[in-house]
This record gives sequence, structure tokens and C-alpha cells, in this order.
Amino acid sequence: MSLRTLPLLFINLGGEMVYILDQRLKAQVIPDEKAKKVLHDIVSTMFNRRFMDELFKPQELYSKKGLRTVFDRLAHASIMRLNTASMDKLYDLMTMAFKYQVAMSLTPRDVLLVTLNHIDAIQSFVAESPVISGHVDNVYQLLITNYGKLSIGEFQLIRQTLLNFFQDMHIRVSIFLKDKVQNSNGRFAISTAGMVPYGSEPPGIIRMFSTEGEHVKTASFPSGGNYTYSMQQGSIELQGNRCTQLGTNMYAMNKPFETTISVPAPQQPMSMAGTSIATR
Amino acid sequence: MKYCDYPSRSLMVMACQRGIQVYDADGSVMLYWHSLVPPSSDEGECTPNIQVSASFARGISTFQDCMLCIGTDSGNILIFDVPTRGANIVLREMLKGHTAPISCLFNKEDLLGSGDDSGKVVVWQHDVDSNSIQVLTTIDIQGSPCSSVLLWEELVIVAYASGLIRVFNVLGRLHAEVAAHARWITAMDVAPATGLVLSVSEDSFAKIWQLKSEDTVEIEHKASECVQDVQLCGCRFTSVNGSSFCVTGYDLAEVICFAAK
Repeated sequence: MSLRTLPLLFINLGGEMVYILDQRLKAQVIPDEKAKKVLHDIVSTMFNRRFMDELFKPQELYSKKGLRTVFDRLAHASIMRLNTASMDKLYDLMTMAFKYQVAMSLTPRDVLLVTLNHIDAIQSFVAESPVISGHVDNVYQLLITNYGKLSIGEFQLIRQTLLNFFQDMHIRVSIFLKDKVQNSNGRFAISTAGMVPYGSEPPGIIRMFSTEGEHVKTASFPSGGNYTYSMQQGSIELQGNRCTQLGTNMYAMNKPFETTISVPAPQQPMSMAGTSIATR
Repeated sequence: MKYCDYPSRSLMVMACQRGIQVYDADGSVMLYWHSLVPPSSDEGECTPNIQVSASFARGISTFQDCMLCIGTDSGNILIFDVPTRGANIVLREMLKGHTAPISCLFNKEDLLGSGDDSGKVVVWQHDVDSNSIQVLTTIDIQGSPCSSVLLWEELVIVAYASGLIRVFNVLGRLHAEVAAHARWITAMDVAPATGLVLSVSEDSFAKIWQLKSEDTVEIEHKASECVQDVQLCGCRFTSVNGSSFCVTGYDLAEVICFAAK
């Protein structure tokens, strides 16, 4: 398995955590100053330079329990207080969201674009603080240095390592159920329509070649789906167009919804809104 | 993991991180362990920005009914001699034709096909007289990892991460190219008696193709099955003529079986 997976796992889960906490802070009408302080403290702790330097060293993934402990501590690195039930629900939401993003990536390299989407959003949350913004920039540079030139095969190994980590997690998330990206059995819906990866060809064509190497015949067959070309490759530049919505803040769409999660039937979905974030 | 069938025995072979484990047919006794971690290396001192993965083995095949072939992340293919009985499995040589991690191996008689993450495919041939294994053909189309390679009749069938399947002859001439799947093709199999090819992909489709190699080489689409909401990652024909097959998928506890009506 890949030894380069941990930074991507941590940064993306952290990004989802920031999205969810931002939404909950707004929903509970926490005063702006306090809400900002919570998010700034969490991002500042998450992207601490020494911690990032250690994180980016080639190493195996933490265990599930170990990673949960890291995020427990991170969530309490600010004036915010979460009870155990709230933390459980927060963590389940974070992991299912990132699992979805990794599973649905058009190509393995999209895992990097998903990460950059999270970084872009985190940067907007902390733009008022030059110091914390500098930390985020540092992490962007670390990502480009470590992942910018990896091959497709190396990214697929990273993606498979992540999918192994998330295997058998089928917690139902209400926002996914509402948007029909997740079924009632917890499985993500896989569309048979949409774009193929950039540089790939929609299925449905067979080309035959002569002994001289000339293309002599074309046949078509029903592809079983409705696929189109991707017109643009996602960019890893600082202000680049990532060309994917995966990793963007799905809670910031101004829809009236709750960040709820649920366990498999027959229990009813649990509501994060029923729990509360307290601040000191 | 793969069951490797030899004339006088079967072995269960597991290609893992850091090594290769060989068990007897029912998996109850480990016969052989081969470590991929060099004894002088200390994984705690790996150099940043160079090492991307821990050592791993990937791709398992028998060869000429007496050898076991395993691919590695270094691009080398380990060839072991397998005795007719007992645990005296011996590493006989390393084939060095790839520099990218091996992704797949496939054997047919005296030929071994190997593919790697850069998209390169090598066809090796075993010469019985000299007992040596040499490169017969190299097919080096860069750009998309090779995810599966098959050998049937005089043909080499290669599946790519881009969703393409290409059909070459054993000397490397391209006969056909199929835009087969919308995502990474994760596995393929061939029914040797009929030339049916099975491919599965993360796009949730299993597709059947018919190869023809009489006057001209052709490939024709025969059938598609969608396993709804499952990213397929393994497949195998369960009959020699290809009238039935099974597939597996990510996060799926079941093996799903199909049969021709």
C-alpha cells in the first residue's frame, strides 16, 4: 500500500470537519467572533508546520482508532466543546463524505484535486488571518511538491489505500440520501451517464487496423450508458480550476437541510442538529 | 491472491505488502515466504520524495507448469521453481524488463505476458532447450497504466486504466482498439476454448467480447451487464467455454454470478 496516503486522508477529513462545524456554528447562531475563533484555532492547529512536516513523511496510515483520536483532539483544540455523541456523528459525516469523494473520483489523480478544493475553501475561511493563511499556503506547497508529479499508477495506489481504509463503512448521510447520491442501503449511487476522465474516450467504438497499421474499419456497440468527453483537465495551480465539485463545501449551497447521519435500518437517521456545539 | 494449478499439485499464493506467501491448496500450511524488503534497508530511514510505497508484490501466474511468477513494485518479476511436492520452492531468477510496478501477469504455454503501471507490456518466452526466459516482444504505449493482460492463440489482449482494450499479435502489431469502459478496467479473463473475453470496470459494467483470429483478427461486443452501484474489481469465467462468469466489487460481500441463458 502507499506510504503517501496519510496527508491526503488527514487534510481532506479536516476539510470536511471545517465545513460541518461552519454549518453547525451558523445553524446554532453562534456569534461571529466566537465562530471565527473556533475555525481559526482548528485550522491553525491542523496545519501547524511541525505537524505537517511529520505528516508528510512517508509512513503507513494510522489505525482507525488512532486517526479518530487525532480528530478528537483537533476538534477540542479551540474553545468549542463537543460531547461524545456529537463527536461520533461529526466523525461519521466527515468519513462518509471523503469516502464518497474518493470513490467517485473520475481518475485517481482527482484525489489531489479534491484535496486542493478543500485547501481552497479552508483558505477562504482563514483569509483574515495572514499567519494562518500562511500555514495553509505552506500545506499547498507541500501537496504540490509531494504529489504534483506522481504517476497515475502511484495515485491509484493511494486511492486504493484510502478505499481500503473506508471499506465496509455504509453509514447513511441525509444530505447524500436527499441528493440521491446514496441509496437506502448505504451504497453510493454510481451513474452510468456523465463524463469520462480527461483524455479517455466514451465507450462504444471498436477500431480495426490493417497489417500495415492503418485504421481500416470502425464498428460501434451499445455502451450501456450515456457518456461524454471531459473538455478540461483539473488544474493544480494555486488559483486553478479544479474541474470537479468533489471536495467543495456541499453544506454551503443555501439549502434548508440538516447535517444528519444515520445507521443502517431500522433505526431512524440521527440528527447532528439535535446535538449542540458549546463554546467556552 | 491466486490458486496456482500445477500437474501434480495446487498452491494458494498471496502477493502482499512486503512479501509473498505460498500455502498448500487448502491454505492450512504455509510452505514458503519470500520477503520483498531488502535486509539492509530500514524502512524508518526512507528518503522523502523518493519512496512512494512500501514494497509490494502484485501479479501472480504459473509458467510452464513448473514455475511460479510474481510481479513486484520495482518492476522485476520473480520466477520461482516449484517442485512436484514439498516446500522446496526456490527463486531461480528475476526478469528485468520493466521499471514501473508490475500490475498483471498472464501465462499461456511457453509465453508469459506482463504489464506495468506505465502502460508497458512485455511478452516473455521460455526456451525449453536452454531453460532460459527471454523477451519476445515489448509493447510500450505510455500514458495509461496497463491493468490486465491476456494471451489467447497468437494474440495479446491488454486492458488499460483509460477504459481501452487493445488487441495485438504476439509480435506487437496492433489489430484492434476498443473504447470498452468509462472508467479504469480492473480485471479481465479469457475463455480459452472459445475466445470469449470478459472485462470489468469501476463503471459497474461487466462486458463480454468475442475474439476472432482466423483470416483477420477481430473483436466484437457480445453482451454487457451492469451491477448497479458496484465498482467491479474482479472477474473470472467459471466455465471453459465462457458460458458463465463471476464478478466481485468494492465494498461488496457477495460474489455475483452470471450464466448464459
